[in-house]
Amino acid sequence: MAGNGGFCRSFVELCDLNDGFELHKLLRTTTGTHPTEEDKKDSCDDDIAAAVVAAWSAGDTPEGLESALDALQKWSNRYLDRNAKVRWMLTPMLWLAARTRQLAVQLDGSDSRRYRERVVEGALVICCELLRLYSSLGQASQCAFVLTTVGNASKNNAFDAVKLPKSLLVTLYFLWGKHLVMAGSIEEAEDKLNRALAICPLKAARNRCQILRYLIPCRLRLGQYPTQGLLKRNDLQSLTGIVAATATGNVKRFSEELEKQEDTLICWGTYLVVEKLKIVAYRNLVRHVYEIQCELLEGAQKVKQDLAPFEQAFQWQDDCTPDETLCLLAHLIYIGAVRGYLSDVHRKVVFSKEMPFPPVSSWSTKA
Amino acid sequence: MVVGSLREKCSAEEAQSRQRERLLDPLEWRKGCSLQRPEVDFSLATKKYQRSSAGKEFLPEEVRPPDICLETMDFLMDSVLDADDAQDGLDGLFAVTPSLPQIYSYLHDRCRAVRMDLHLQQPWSSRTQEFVTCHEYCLRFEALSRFLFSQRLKTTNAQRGDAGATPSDHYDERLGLQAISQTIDPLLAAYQQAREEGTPFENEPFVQRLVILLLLATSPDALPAHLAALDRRLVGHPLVREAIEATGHFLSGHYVRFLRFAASDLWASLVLVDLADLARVRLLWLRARAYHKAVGDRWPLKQLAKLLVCDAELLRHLLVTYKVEVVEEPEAEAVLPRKGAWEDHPLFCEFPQTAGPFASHAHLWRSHRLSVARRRDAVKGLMDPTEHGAEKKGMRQF
Repeated sequence: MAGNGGFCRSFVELCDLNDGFELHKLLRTTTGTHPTEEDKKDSCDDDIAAAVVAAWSAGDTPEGLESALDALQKWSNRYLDRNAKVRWMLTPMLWLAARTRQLAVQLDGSDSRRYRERVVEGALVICCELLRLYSSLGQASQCAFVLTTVGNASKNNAFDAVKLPKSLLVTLYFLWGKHLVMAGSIEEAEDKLNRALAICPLKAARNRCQILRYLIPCRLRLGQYPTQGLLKRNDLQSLTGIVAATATGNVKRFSEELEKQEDTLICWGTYLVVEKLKIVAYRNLVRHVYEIQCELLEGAQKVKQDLAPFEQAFQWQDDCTPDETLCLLAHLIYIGAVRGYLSDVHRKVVFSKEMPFPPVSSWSTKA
Repeated sequence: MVVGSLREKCSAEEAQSRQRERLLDPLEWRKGCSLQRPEVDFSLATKKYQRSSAGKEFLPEEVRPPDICLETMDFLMDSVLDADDAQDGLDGLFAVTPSLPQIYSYLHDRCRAVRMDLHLQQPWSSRTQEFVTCHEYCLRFEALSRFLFSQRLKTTNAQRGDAGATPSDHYDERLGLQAISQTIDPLLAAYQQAREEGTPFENEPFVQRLVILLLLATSPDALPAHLAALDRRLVGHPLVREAIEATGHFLSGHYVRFLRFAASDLWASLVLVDLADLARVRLLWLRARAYHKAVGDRWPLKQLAKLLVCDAELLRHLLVTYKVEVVEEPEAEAVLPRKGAWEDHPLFCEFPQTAGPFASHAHLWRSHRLSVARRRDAVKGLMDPTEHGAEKKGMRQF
C-alpha cells in the first residue's frame, strides 16, 4: 500500500530523493496485496512505476511476470545510464530481481500442465534453433546441455511426442541423431535417426537424404547394409564403394574409397564414424581367409590356422607388416569381432569352434 | 580505429614507472645494478600485459604497431627463450640466469601483451603478416611449454632426484590451454579472411594441422565439428590430410599407424606425447589379452620396440612398469604373464584410459635432442614439417 497520494507519486518522490531504502519498503508493500483504487488511478509519468503497478494488478500470472520483467529491465537500464550516485538504486534492484524470480518459480511449479503443453512446442522449436546455432558456431559441446534437458523432459512425460507436429519431431530427432553421431554414440544415434526417417514424408527427398547421410554409417557400424536402390534413390551413390568394400572385406578398396570421399565425409561430419568401419572390413577379410583355409585344411587344423595366410592377406590389402597384422588381430579379438586367441611362439591363430565370427551388432559399439 | 605509434618494445614511461614501483622482472634489470634497488635496462624491457577494464582507453602512444610487435616477439624468442642457458658474466645479456619456469612466466605475460596490442588495432592489423607471425610464435611457444611443463616431467625429475624448483611449479595446464585457445581463435580468423581475399598465408596448413593434433590430444569430442568447418582446400593439403588420418587411426584403434605418425616430426611428437604413451600401453594390453593364458607367449624385444616406435630403454621401462618379465637368452624377449599371475596383473585390468606411471618425456627429450638452440628454432617455425616431407614419407613408410 502506498503512502499519501498513491503508489506512483510516492515512487517518483523517493527516486528524486535517491532514497533506496524507503523505495525498497514501498515496493515490498505490493507483495501479497492488491492495489487500491487510488494506486490504480494515480497517473504514472514514470514508466517503471507504471510497470510495477501493472505487475501488482496482474498478480501471480504470466502477465504479472511480464510486467515485473519489464520493470526490472527498465530499472537496470536507468542504473546503467546514470553516471554518478547510483548506489541507492541497488536495494530496489534487489527486490525487483527477487520478485521476478519468485514469480517465475511460482508459475513453473503451479498446476499449469495445460500451459506447459501449450508452450512445449515453442520450447522445442527454440531448442532446435539452438542446436543449429551451436553447430554453426563450432560449439558442439553446448548441444549436450540442450539435449539432456529435452531428454529429461521426455522421460518425465513433460510432452507426448505423438501429439507434436511431425515437422518439429523430424527436425528434433535429426539434429539429436546428428549430434549423437558426432559424439560417437552409434546405437542411440541410429535410434533417433530411424525415428526421424520413419516420420519424414517420402516426398521430402532432400530431408530424407540428409537423414540417411548419418543413418547409413550408423547402420553399417551395426552390420546392416543398405541396398543399391536405396543409395541411388537418395542420391548417396558416393557411399556405394565404401558399403561394398566393408561388406566384402576389401580393405584396399575401402581405403581408396575413403580417401576419395574424404572431403565429402568431413564436410558432413561423418568421416570419423565411417573411418571406424575399417575394423568391420578387417573382420570380414579375416573371415574370408579363415573360410578359404578351412576348405584347404582338415580336422583340427581348421580351427588352428597358421598366421602366414593372414599376414599375406593383410600385407596385400593394406601394406601391413606381420607385427601390425598381429596387433590388428589382437584388436579384433579384444572387441569380440573374432573369437579365438593368438600364439606368436607357435605362429598360430586358434579360432573358437562355435561362432568364431559373432554378428557385427554384438560387438560394433565396442569398436 | 587505433593505430599504434609506440616504436619501442616498452615505453620509457612504463619502464620507469615499474622501476619506481619495483615491478620490473629480473629479465629487465640492468646488469650490475643493486638487487635491492634494481634498475631497468631499456634495451631489455618489454611492455607488460595490462588487463583491459571497463572504460579504459588505450592511447596510440601506448600501443605498439604490428612491426614493433614482431620485433618484440623476435627479441623474446631469440634472446629470452634460451636465457636459462646463458653463461653468467660479461657475455650474458641479462643480470640473472633465470630458470625455465621464470622464462615461461615472463614470456607468457609478454606474449599476451603483444597479442593485446595487435587485438586493439583490429580489424586492419589482422590483415598483416606481422599479426599472423606473432600469433604463430605464441602458439608454438605455448604448445612447446605444455610439453615441457607437463606433470610427468616433474615426476621424472623427482625420480631422478633433481634439486631445485620443478618445472611444473609455474605452469598451469588449464591456463596454458586457455592461452592456446586465445591465440588460435584470432589466428584462424585471420587465415580465413586472407583466404577469402585470395591471399592465403603460407603457414596455414601447418597451423591447421597443429590445431587438429591439439584437439585430438585435449578435446577429441570437438573434432568432428571442427573438421566439418574446415575449408575443403585445406582438407586436401597433405599436412592436414595426414593429421586427419592420424586422428582416425587413434580413434579407431589402429595404434601402430598412429605411433608412426606421432614419431614423424617434432611437433607431432610434442603434442601427441601423452596419446603416444597411451597407444603403446594399449598395444601391449591388447597383445596380452589375445593369447591363451594357460600357455603364455613371448615377443622378441626388437620387434616390440619397432612396433611401439620406441628405443630399448623406453621399452624396458614400459615392461617393468607393467610387470612383464624379460628374458635375455637366447634373444631378449618379453614373456607375457601366464594364467596364475593374471588376476591382479596390471595387463589384465580394465582397458587403459591413461598411460599411468609410464613416462616418456625424458626419452623424447633425449631422442629429439631438443637443445636450447632447437627450442628457439622450433618456436620460430624452422622445424615445421613441410608439404613435401609429408608427401614423401607417407603414412605407411617407417
